Amino acid sequence: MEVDKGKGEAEETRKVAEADRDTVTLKSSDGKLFEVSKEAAARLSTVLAGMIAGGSIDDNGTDLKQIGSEALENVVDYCNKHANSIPSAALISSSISFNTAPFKEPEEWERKFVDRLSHDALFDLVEAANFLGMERLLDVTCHKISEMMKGKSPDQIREVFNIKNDYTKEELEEIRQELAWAFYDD
Amino acid sequence: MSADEDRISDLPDELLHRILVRLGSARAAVRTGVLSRRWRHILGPLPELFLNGDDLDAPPPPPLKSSLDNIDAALAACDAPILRRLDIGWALSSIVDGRGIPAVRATRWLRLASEHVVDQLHIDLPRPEVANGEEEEAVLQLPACEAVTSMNLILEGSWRIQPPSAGLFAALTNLTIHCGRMDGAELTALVCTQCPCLVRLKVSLMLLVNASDVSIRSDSLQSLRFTVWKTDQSLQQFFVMNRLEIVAPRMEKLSFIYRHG
Repeated sequence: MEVDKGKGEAEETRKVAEADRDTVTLKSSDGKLFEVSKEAAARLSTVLAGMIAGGSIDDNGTDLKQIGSEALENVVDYCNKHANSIPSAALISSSISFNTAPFKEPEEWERKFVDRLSHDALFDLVEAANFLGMERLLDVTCHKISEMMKGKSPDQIREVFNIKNDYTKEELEEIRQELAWAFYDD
Repeated sequence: MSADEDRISDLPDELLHRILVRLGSARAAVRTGVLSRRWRHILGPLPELFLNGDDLDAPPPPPLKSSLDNIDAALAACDAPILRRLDIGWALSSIVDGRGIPAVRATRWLRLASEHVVDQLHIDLPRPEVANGEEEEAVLQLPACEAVTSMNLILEGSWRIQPPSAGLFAALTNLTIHCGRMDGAELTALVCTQCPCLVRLKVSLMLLVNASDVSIRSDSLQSLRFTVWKTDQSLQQFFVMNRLEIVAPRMEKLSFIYRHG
């Protein structure tokens, strides 16, 4: 069946979907309910796949106490978009290996999907993806974060992510000496 | 959420690790160690990988093909995204196997090395596999290795080293190329523009093509050992018609040898 593209059609789709039992209902930590394509959820999240297979999905809303409504909405949005836009292209999970680079670059829509997120929403989504075992979404979000670091000096990276430098001057000097080859142009 | 909260440092190690790998630069990843204590050991101690085509399965020494596969398999099995040092080498036994090393494999090892190795790279290559034997060249494409400080390429047979057309060996201080073939203009570009902090250079070439185009200009170079066995012009012509230009204000040691090949 067709799954809705936008939130506007969500209500209507929900009725159809529940009749077909092609969706599952997820409940955020603050009690909001979200519908997601069962097929996409099972394919994209190992945790949801396990719950679906194990029959521990609650028709009245499966509790995901660790995930706030904004992040869960993004997760659900991502799953539904994924169900719609990805054909059979193999989305290999990204075990990090030396030899091959199984990581597949984010698709254009995935890039846009994470680009529109605020700083906090991005990190909420990373944490939600991690909790739900969503390899592909983790790849896409981690890729975004690494892009935010690329080409920046340590000071600039600290600024972007509000990282507090808790080294003493002496420690910092020691590390820089140890890693001199990595700092040859500073 | 407060806007000045440090969200990234709260992520679990494995996610930070994943983010660092995605930087696509071993050097950039290592540099994050100075951000804060939290970031110091995300990458852990950087491993060193020593692969010997003969030892992997020894004894007895395996045929060449399986030692090639063994090296590929060992690289594939290495799950460390960043290596402090990579050594690929052979003892003599597998070289007598008859065939040589396919250029695509060797080029792939170098590409992997350029992406994953920081600090030291040592690659020892037996002669290349050439289609019809004879004097055919095998091109070994050398990618820009931005984080390697010391590189040794020990070659046998008719490998022709082709440096990258762009990109920097930004950290490279020691470079040894033993027994390959190179183009004079490419060697010049490599030394003069692509290795900005090269201190020690040892080049021993079996064949220098376009020898008249060689010029060594380097502000950082202190030691140069340059040996050429053969050029594409006659030696006499080379000495009469051409000169080798070396401009290196910090040079302390210079050894320059031409041989009749």
